[in-house]
Formats: sequence, C-alpha cells, structure tokens
Amino acid sequence: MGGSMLKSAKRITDERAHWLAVNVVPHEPALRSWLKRKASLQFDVDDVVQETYAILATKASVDTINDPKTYAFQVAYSVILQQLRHSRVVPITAVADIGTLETVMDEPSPEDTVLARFELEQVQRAIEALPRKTRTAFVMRRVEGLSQQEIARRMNLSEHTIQKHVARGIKLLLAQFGRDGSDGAAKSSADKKKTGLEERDHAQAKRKVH
Amino acid sequence: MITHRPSARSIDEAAAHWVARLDAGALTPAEETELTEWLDSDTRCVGAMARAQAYFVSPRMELAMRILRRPPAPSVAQWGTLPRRAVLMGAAASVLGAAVLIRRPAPAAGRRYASEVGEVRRIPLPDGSKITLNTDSVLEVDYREDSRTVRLLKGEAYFEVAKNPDRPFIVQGPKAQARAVGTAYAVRLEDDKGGMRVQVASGRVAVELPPPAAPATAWQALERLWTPSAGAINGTHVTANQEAEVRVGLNAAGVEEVQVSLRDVAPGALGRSLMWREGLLSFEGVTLAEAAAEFARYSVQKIVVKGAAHERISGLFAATDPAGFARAIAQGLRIKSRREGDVITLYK
Repeated sequence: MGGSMLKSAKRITDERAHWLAVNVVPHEPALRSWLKRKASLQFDVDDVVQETYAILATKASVDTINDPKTYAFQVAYSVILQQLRHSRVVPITAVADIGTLETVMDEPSPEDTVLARFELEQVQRAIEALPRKTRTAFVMRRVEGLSQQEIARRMNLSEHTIQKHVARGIKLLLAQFGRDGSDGAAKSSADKKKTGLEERDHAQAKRKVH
Repeated sequence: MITHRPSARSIDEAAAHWVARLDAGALTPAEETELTEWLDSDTRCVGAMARAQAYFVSPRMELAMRILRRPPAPSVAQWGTLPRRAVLMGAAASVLGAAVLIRRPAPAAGRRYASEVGEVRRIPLPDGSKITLNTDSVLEVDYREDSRTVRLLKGEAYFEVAKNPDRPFIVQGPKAQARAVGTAYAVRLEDDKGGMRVQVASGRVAVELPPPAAPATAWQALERLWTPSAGAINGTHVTANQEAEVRVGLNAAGVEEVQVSLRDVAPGALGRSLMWREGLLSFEGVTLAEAAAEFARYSVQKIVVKGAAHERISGLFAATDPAGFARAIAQGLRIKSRREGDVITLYK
C-alpha cells in the first residue's frame, strides 16, 4: 500500500497545481523577500521554498486553508525550524531571529501581500524576455490551448523540439520568479520605456513564424 | 552523511523537463520509473515539480500572454460614424450641450482595438498615453492635430493620458463623452441605451453630453426651440476619487433624457474597482449575484446563482478563474457548486 500511495501523493493533480498557482505562486515573491531578511539563520532560500511547495503539494486536502498566504509562511517557518533542529551548529543570531519570525507572520499587511511583486507587468516582462520560439510555443500551448503535437505541426518543428521549448519556458519563468527574481524587479522600472518597441519586435517576429 | 546535494537550479531544470514531458503525453514505463525515483530522491524535487506545474498552469501567466498577444489583424477596422442615436437626445441637452462642447470633428475611420472575453489589453499610444482595455471591449482611436478622440464602442477601458493642453483627450460614448487634459480615468459602458460610468483616479475630467445634430427641418428646429428645458441634463467636472454616472431614460413627455450624476468614491474603493487592470476582481460587500454578473464579463464560463444570491461577499479573485471563485464561495458560504460544461451552478 505504502509504495503506490507514495507515488500518487508525490504527483500532484491538475487541481492542486491550479490551487498552488492561484493561492501560493502570487505570494512567492513576498515569501522569498521575507526569507531573505532571515538570511542570518543560514538556510538556503530556494531549499526552503521547494520544501514549502512540497508540503503544500502533498497535503491531503487544502479545503480548510482559508488564508493561503499566512499558511504558506507558517509552513516555511516550520521548514526553517526543522532545518535548524537538524543542523549541529546553530548560529548565535538564529535564536534571536527565530523570535522575530512569528511577529512578522502576525502582520497581515494586505497591501504587501496579494499583489506583491507578482504584478501583471512583471509577469509580462518575464514572458517578453523568453526567446522568440520558446515564447511562441508557450503562447500556443497556454493561450490557444493547442497540444504540443499540434504546435509542432504549425511551427514545422519536431514534437521533441516543442517539448524542449516548453521545458525551457518553464525553466526560465521559474528562474525569473525565483533566484533571479529580485534583479528582474529592480530592472523593471528602468526599461519600461523599451517595452513598446520590444512588443512590436516580438510581434513582427511572431508574424513571421505563423 | 549527505553525499551530494543537487543544486536548486538543477532540480528546477529537471522539474521543468518533467512538466513539459507530462504535458506532451503519457509516459513510457521506463519514464514512469525514472520520474518516481527522481521524486523519491529528495523532497525538494517534489516541491520543485509542484511549483513548476503551478507556474505552468498559472492564470496570471496566461493573462499576461493574452495581453502581449497582438491584435489578430489590422483588417478589422473601418467603422463609419458613431451610431447616430445621440440625435434623439432630450431638448435641454441641445441647449446646454451646444454651450459646453467643442464641435465634434467629422468622424473618420480610426484605428480599432478589441479585446476578447477574459482578455485585458494594454495599448500604448504614440503620444505616450496608455489605454488598458478591459474584457470583451471595443474602442476606436482617432488622433488628430487638435484632438485625441477615443470612441468606446463596447465594454470598459482605463486611460492614462499624457498631458497636452492643446490636444484634449476625449472618450466618446454613445450619449456622453469624457474629456481630459492630463489624467487617469476609466470609462465603462453600462447598458445598451448609452449609460456610462466615468471613474477618475487622478486629475480632472469633464463629462459632457455630445452636441445635437443639426435639426433636419425648420419645423424640428422650431420645436426644439420651444421645448422647455428639463434642467436635469448637465455637463459636469469629475475630479480624483469621484465617479460620474450617465443614465439614459425617458422623461414624462416620452422624450429621451440623459442625466449625469456625481458622487465621491470611498478611499481604496476606486483602486479596488480598477483591479481588473491586474487581471483581478475585488469585491467588498457586494451580493453574490452581483459578483457572478461581474465574472460573466471575463469568461465564457458562467456562474448561475440559485442559492444565497443576496449573501454579501468580499475578496480578491483571478478574473479569468470563475471556477476557483465558485469553489471559494461554496466553501465560504457553505453552499454547493456543480459544474456542467461552461455553466457553474451555486446552490444550497
């Protein structure tokens, strides 16, 4: 029983993926910036984020979670505590910082939450930054709902190549909102002027593909 | 104890590969084993996989892609004049409108923009102004030396106007127009009759009723001259954190009458109601029926409310995800939801 259950539990359903997309992904930038401020605890932010997603993904039911943001922060907090307990050497500052963890979590700060740095414009910029063919394949898949097979036919590429494009698109987006995310945010206001042009270029490029 | 810990980056890369692979079709037995072993190797792999899947299906990503997508083809354009229903306007408007308004230039074919259901489009204009077109909306942009005119033909749009006192920025609805110099405001067509709502985020906007067409006959001109003014129709200035509502109805004499009313918007409420620019819908104490009607603008999926229609709800939701909204509501109000095709029914 254990084996098969484990297997199915680790593969998430489309419904759970969607729940994470709507309820957790938008808070990820806030979670990351919060985690970065706790850097003295000497944990790896990416590790904690991945562990947090693992717990949220494999939780039997998310129906009782009323406030996903707070919940995600609490899970991340428990991950950090667990890591600290397992590590042999606890840095001296850690003790003090753990004390502050909870107070940060108690602040609901609605402004900084829902929209925090996962704003549409930033998502747009991340998508605009994708290589042309990757972006074209991605848009056909996600917006037009075409299968990878159908995209391969339309772009006159092999299915294998399309799969590579989709994988690359996901990889770049994950990086944009993960490790490299803060840089992207800093840049964003500076190159606002450029976006009109870029959009035109992309569009021209896209028309050629079709 | 720990021999080799793969980096977060390499885990993400593998996760992206698996999500794309699963999206391509069923795995071979060998791949099944490989994926299971990979997931078993490290909890972080499970998390990375879930995160990658979530990003892949993110409605926000999808929305961003829709916005970036270019208009289908420029061939759709070529609209003639605005429907001349405005001619039927009440008599008082003729008197007042003539005094307030600059003359409308002869209608020319402008550039036409349309958004699909669920799509929010950003349209940068050559003068630096920006238009954000809400779901299922159509407008036409007509730039001239002395004016910038936008004809809102359907739906709603938000305008961030680059300041230029010599070229007023005018948004025309069927019955009224909103004129600005440099400001940010939203205009929404509310009904088939020409009702319109103007919300001002910053600056000042004049909401004006369009000038009447020249009377076709001397008799009509005479009749108009002698029709007593109802006094209800007016042009008005709307400033930041105010909204004006243009209503169209019939007066006691059966003549069509256009009214403009003005009211203050509570701090924060304006930002909430403009949340659609981010692909979100924000509700604060509206009835479930009203919320469902709002969602209907953004998706082909319709929410039918059969119970708790008058319950008041608050919250922030993805505009293109009515199913997620229905789930949250069903849970919150302890009612049931059922989905058949494109219809989601909420019932007790």
